[in-house]
Amino acid sequence: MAKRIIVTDDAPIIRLMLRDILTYNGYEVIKECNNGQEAVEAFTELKPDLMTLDIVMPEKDGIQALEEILTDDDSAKIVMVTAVDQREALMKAIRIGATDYIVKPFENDRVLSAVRKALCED
Amino acid sequence: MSEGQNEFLSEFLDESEEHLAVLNDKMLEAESSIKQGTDMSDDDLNAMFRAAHTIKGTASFIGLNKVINLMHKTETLLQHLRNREINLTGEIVDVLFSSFDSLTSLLTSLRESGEEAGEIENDVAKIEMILNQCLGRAQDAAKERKVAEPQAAESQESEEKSSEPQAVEAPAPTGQAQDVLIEEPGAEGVAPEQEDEPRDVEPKINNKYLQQFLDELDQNIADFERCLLSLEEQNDDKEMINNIFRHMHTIKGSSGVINAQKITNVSHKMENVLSYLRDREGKVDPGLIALLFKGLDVIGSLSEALKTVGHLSGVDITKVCQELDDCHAVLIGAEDQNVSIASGADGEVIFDEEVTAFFEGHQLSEMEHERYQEAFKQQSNIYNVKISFDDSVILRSMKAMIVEERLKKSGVLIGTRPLLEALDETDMKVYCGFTVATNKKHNELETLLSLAGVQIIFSQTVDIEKVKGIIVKAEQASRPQNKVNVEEGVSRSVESRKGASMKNPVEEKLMAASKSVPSDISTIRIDSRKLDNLMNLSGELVIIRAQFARLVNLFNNDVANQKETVRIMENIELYFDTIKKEINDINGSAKENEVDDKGVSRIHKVITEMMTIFGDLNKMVLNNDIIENIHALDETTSMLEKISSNIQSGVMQTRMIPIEGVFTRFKRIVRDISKEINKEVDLKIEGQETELDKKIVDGLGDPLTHMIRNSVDHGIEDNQTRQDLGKTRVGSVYLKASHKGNNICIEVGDDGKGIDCEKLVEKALDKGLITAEQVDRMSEKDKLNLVFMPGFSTAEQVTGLSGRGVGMDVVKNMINSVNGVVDIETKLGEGTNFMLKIPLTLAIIQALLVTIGSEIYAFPLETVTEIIKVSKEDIYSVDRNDTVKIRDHALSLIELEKVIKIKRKEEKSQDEEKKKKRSRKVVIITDGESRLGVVVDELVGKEEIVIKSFTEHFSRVKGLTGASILADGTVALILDSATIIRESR
Repeated sequence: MAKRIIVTDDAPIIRLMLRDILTYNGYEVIKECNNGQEAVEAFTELKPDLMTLDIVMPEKDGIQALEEILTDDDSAKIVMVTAVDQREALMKAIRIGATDYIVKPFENDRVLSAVRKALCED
Repeated sequence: MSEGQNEFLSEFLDESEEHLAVLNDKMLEAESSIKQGTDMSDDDLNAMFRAAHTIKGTASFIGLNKVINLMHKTETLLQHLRNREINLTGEIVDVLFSSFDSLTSLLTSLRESGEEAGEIENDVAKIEMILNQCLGRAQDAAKERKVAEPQAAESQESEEKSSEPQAVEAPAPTGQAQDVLIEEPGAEGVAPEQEDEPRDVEPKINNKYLQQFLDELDQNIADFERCLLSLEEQNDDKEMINNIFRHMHTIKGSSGVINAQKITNVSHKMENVLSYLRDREGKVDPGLIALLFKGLDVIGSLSEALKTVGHLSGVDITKVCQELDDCHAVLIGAEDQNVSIASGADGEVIFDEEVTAFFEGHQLSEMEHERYQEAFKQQSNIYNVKISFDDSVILRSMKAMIVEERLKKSGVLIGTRPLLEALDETDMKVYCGFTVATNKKHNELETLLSLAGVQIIFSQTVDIEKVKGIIVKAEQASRPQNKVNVEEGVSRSVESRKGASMKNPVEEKLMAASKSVPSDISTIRIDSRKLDNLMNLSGELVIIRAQFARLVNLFNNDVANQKETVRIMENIELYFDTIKKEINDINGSAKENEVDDKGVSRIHKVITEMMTIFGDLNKMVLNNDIIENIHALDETTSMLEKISSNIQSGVMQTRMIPIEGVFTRFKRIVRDISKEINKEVDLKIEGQETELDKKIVDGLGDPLTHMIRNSVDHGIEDNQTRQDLGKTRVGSVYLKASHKGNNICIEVGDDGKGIDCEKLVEKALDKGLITAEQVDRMSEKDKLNLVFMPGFSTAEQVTGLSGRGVGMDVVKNMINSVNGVVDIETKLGEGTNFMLKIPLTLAIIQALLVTIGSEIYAFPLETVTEIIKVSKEDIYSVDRNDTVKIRDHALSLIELEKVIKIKRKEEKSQDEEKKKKRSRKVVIITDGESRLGVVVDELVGKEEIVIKSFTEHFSRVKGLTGASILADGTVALILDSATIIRESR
């Protein structure tokens, strides 16, 4: 069965690209979230195999969302999607327990290898 | 070129060659369909378009500009063919073939030197010309399409651009033609906008998401403006600064994704300023707000430019970027600007020493010390894990941090080297080391650490005793010292990095030069079914291992039973002793005529006890299934034999690839030759699915090309002659591959005129290659074999294709070098057939083992024609060479030591003398052309041996190709028959 993934980013274009890459490679993107709050709710409700999480977002940022999701489920696989200069925030996310990260602008291969490794498919 | 790109390059080349084969193949089909007056199928055109598109796309990742350029043009032409906007003509076929050829040479030069050497301008111009010719009429229609940006096209084409573009109606056969095309308004039909195809603007704007991006950009700009205005009114509103920052961040992220670099640049610089404002308290300076507005306006105009003209080259951003930079510099203070970044020669790995020292227990901090002690106390497993990063990894320290976190989760992380921050301060390849105390098993740990972009170089159990020793020693030294050590370690590594970058520039250049040559990584694609098969077999191997373990247990039981049996036997012996004693007693008392009842009852008792013991013994014997176990052992062993030989052949299979790849290219070659010499020839291919060792397949291309060329050029008569002779008008050349036992037989034949042996002899005499005297001694076969002599050619007219006197000798050498033989069959007027007999694999051969002196030697069985025994009297001397007559043919004999300088021991040679008097054993070897008898002492037998190649030191020893280890552990040297024959002359 295709692995279920939730994509979170406040920029629809990024969501679209991620959806394209993932869907094309056999994953099922079950939901797209616009902000951290939606992400937390969607995760609790849908229990996806993996979630991508932008860091800088309105309502609730990625770090906060990550913390809440991991508090609830410490085996959650969360791949942060970040810009290269978000170092401090990314570091925080990793210390909290993010599974991996992807740096924007990303290449398809990077996204896939991060997702595959995170899902232990390699 | 960096290592990563290198790695990628080889994959790119492999893949592109496959695509190229598709292109050539489909083009041939296209050509034949033109001849038959039919249309080419959409599928074929699509396949070609996709192939060109893919090559272009992949090349763009590596930055191979010539390939990109050439494939872009090719792709455009194919695109029009696909859309039926241009009709395929013979001329177009030729142009496309020519562009495929240029691509071939680009790929070849990339593979050989890593450089994109080769000329493409000609092909590009030709394609442009065709496009111009064919699409001229379609220009009006094209005008209605989206307007392509002339300036963008200009920069894209500047390489080939002539300085004075002129409006010429007729296409000129030079690079100018395309300028005309592009600069003329309305010529956009040549390169119509495609939804799924990136434009050739540098950098390419990702069109697919452009509209979406623009919509979002407008929204973000509007939001940003609104927030900025409100910030102007209330200039310490943290929340507002945060919002502004977020909008700019989004703009930057999205523009990066669609490759709108100028927008990314400006937004990045604005974000820098904003991030400073966000992190500091205080009011925002009105001047700053003005600057932010200015930046926003520039982004606005960039957005506008994208919407109207589709590119950004008309907008200047340097001024605003400079202002933003200056502002940022002022804000953060000049001193932070001077962050030096160490960089060094490609490929060098730093922190290696530091990591190694740390793994050995040196330079530990106090904390690390304590964690070690705790781990010793807990008796947990301690592992050292060493990782490196893929070149693509951005922020290596973050990856390392993820590894740290995962290790922490699995147990106690004792320490990490180097400091994580240091990983990002260099562009050089780095190692990072971790030591962890955990209860996890080794493989669990490796799974846990699986992370994109991170390579685990090794993870191994720490030699606790060794580390303990070092730590205890360190403990005896003063503790603060340890702390200093850590710092020293770090600063030293910084020093060493600096040292690396300050190396003698010449030396550095040399190093760079030696590294720029692409290393010859030979990769092979393996059919996954073959690997599955191997996996299954190794699974079975595990089962067999379990069965053996079970058998060992059973035999252990048997041994225990055996011991028990012995013990019982000893008991029985004791009882017998007792009975004997009792009977003696009774006998003693019987003498006194007194039957001792007690004695009898004692005997009775003993016998009863013995009965019980016998019962036990019986049970024991019944339970003892040693014979059954031996049967099981037998069965299991034979299964092991079967599986191991299956694994052996399975592993061999992984090296086997179908010969198809080589065969397919001949369609093209035959087409070209027949076109060039105006001779219609049909190529028939059979058995292209036959598999053989990759190394052999790789080496077959050139020899086969020679042979095919010979056949088409010399073998096949021209069409008219054929008709006159009553043959089919079109000659056939065939290429066949088939399995013959342990060999692959490749045949190259034709139904042409055949080879005239007498003509060969004449020619050879003419050229002085042989003497008339030699001719008398030659058999038909020998005469035929003259074609293999270096410098031999019978073509009356040297053509561009063959007949330069190179060819067949090259073929023969190549085939001999892989232990194969070449054979010719020919019939005048009916055709010629060359047969190449090649072993399936280079790794394992059938060999004839012999002894000479005290050593065992192996002749590849392929080269042995027969073994004879000759008596001393039959050997006579010709020109001081030993010769023997076999079936009326003279055969030279040779002692092997004359070629490979074997030293016989003194005492032995006396024995040999005696032997020499009687008969001698001779192995007759051949290289397909001549034969030679090699005198041997003893024949050992035929065996399948595994070839181990020599290391450098021995690789130049003449007459030997390698060595093999025999079943009993002795080493046998493998003889190179072809060289021995050559050297004996």
